[in-house]
Amino acid sequence: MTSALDTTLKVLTSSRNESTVPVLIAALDSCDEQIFDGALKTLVARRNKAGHSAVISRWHQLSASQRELLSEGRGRMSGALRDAVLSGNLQLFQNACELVEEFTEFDLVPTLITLAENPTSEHAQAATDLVIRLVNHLSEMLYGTRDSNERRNPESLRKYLLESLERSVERFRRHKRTELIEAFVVLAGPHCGMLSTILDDIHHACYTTVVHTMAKSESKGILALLLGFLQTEGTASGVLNVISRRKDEAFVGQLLGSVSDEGLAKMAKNLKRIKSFAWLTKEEPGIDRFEEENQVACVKLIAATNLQQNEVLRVLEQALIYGGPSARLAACEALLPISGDRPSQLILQASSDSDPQVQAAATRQLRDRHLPGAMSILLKLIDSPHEIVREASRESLGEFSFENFVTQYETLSEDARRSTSMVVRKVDPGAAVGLLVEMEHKSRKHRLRAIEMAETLHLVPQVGEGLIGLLADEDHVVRAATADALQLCQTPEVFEALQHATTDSSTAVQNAAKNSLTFFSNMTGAAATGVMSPTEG
Amino acid sequence: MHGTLLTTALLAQIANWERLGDGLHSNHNRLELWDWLPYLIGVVALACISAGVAGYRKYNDLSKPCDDPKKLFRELSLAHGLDRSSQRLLRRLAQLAGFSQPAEVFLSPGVFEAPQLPEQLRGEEKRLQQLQSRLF
Repeated sequence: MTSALDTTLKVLTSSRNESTVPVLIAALDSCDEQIFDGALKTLVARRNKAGHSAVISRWHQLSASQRELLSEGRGRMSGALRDAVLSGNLQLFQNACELVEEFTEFDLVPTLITLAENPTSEHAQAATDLVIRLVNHLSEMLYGTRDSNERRNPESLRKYLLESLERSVERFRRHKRTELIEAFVVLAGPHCGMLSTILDDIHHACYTTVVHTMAKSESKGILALLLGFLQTEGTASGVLNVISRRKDEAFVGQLLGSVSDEGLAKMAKNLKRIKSFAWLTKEEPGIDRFEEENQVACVKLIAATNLQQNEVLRVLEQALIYGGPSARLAACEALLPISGDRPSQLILQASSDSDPQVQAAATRQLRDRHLPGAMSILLKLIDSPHEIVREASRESLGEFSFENFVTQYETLSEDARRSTSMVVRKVDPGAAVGLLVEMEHKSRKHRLRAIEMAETLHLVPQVGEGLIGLLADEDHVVRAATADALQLCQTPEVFEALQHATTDSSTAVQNAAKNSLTFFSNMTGAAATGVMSPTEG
Repeated sequence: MHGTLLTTALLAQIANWERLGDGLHSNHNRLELWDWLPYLIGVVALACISAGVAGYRKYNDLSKPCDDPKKLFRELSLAHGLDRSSQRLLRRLAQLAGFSQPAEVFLSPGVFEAPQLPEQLRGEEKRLQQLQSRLF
């Protein structure tokens, strides 16, 4: 564009003389593209309805780049667009509709609704369709990805549109435009008073349309509305029925995406009112159709519902067999409050899962389910290569603690002591420390019992220091028992302590020490010839 | 005492004061219409000057909202620095081209082309070509 023409257009843009508009409109008939584009841009920039109307009337003749020039007029041309929408001229109406959609002129929605409700207007259907498209666009703005260039507040727009749509709902008996009711439902949130009124009254003129929309529409607004209802107390049972029946991918994805600890807490009351999910029935594909994240969400969701136990177990079984590690773990946790043979079998199966986390979760439940053979499985798992499994197994065998062993020791038979001691030794890593405490007990009986338990538990080498200390005990019976027990701990310190004990004042202690030393030399000889010592075994 | 005596003396001569204002107000002749004429002429002249100043200011004030095609033409002419002679020529061209507004000429380069020129402006072809190159 030349600088001279640019000067002319600048004057025509900034001038407060309204005579500029007819001059610019006349320039729209120019064959010169620069002048045409300049006049177009200037007309859009000026706030003059006649100028805007002239532009709208030529919209269908404009090239893509010329249409781009009109983007500056977004929000400025509402008046002219309103006139064009209401005009009887078909071309002008079509142009205006295209522009309204292009500019997403939500200000025009009330006018379009009025037109849509008019049974005599030949543009009623087109106006209705445009309202639906604009409402869906707003729904996308509200619940979808936000356009960074969009400065309008979608929540304010929603309130503005909802006001007009609510009035249209009130006039439904007159206009019978179900599409307008659908548009209303898309924008109405779960706290909308009018929507609640409709849903509470099955005989309401709009009830069927509203429920049908909630059951079928895949609009983000509807999906958000349904999830909002799930998190709202006192939701109408009709809505919960819709949620229960919907099985389309969009809804299920949205539902599973909303599952979080916080979300579940909000939904808890309503989920307990749901007795089935259409997307989880036998006829539908299994849980493996979802990504692992959604498999977990699915398991957590059904655990929170009031589904029949058989259904819950079927899904949990699917999760344990076909699900990813996180889903299997969630399934194990979901099985915790469910008693019975089938869940117990599932837990037993999970206790040999390839994932240590799942195995550990199942292991923790084995004992309480009183399954036959559970003890032997737990004893096997106590030697698992995975610490988390060993820990779970130890937790399950918690009663085999050293403390309990000490308490029950006197009542146990010799065989029972031997077998129990093997378990205690594995279950309670603090057994050696417990023994050392017992060895320092004031009571002679306790000290003697500690020496005996150290032998039974095969923990003599671990408590060698404590036993050496007992060789200096005031009681000769304790010293003699200690000298006898120390034969199982072949260290230079013990050897030295036993040699010192051979000079003890008590003959019993001397003899016991000598016997142990003899055992030492025998074992040393055996070791030299390739025979292992008892402690090594 | 002395003051009281002086006051009494002045009041005693009041007859001498009675004709003091003769010929000043009530006794003067009444004013004729001719007496007002200079004043009227002055007021009318003042009004004409004020109206002229206001009109001149309005004529030159391009910042106020209006709907005036002639003013728009002048606004554009000023922006392009056109002299009065060029403005006259352009106005004539617009008139002969049949434009509803003279300012349309600023967005119509075609009317400057020699074959399009009206018969009456054939003699101004060169000046119009210069104006065309200046405006477009």
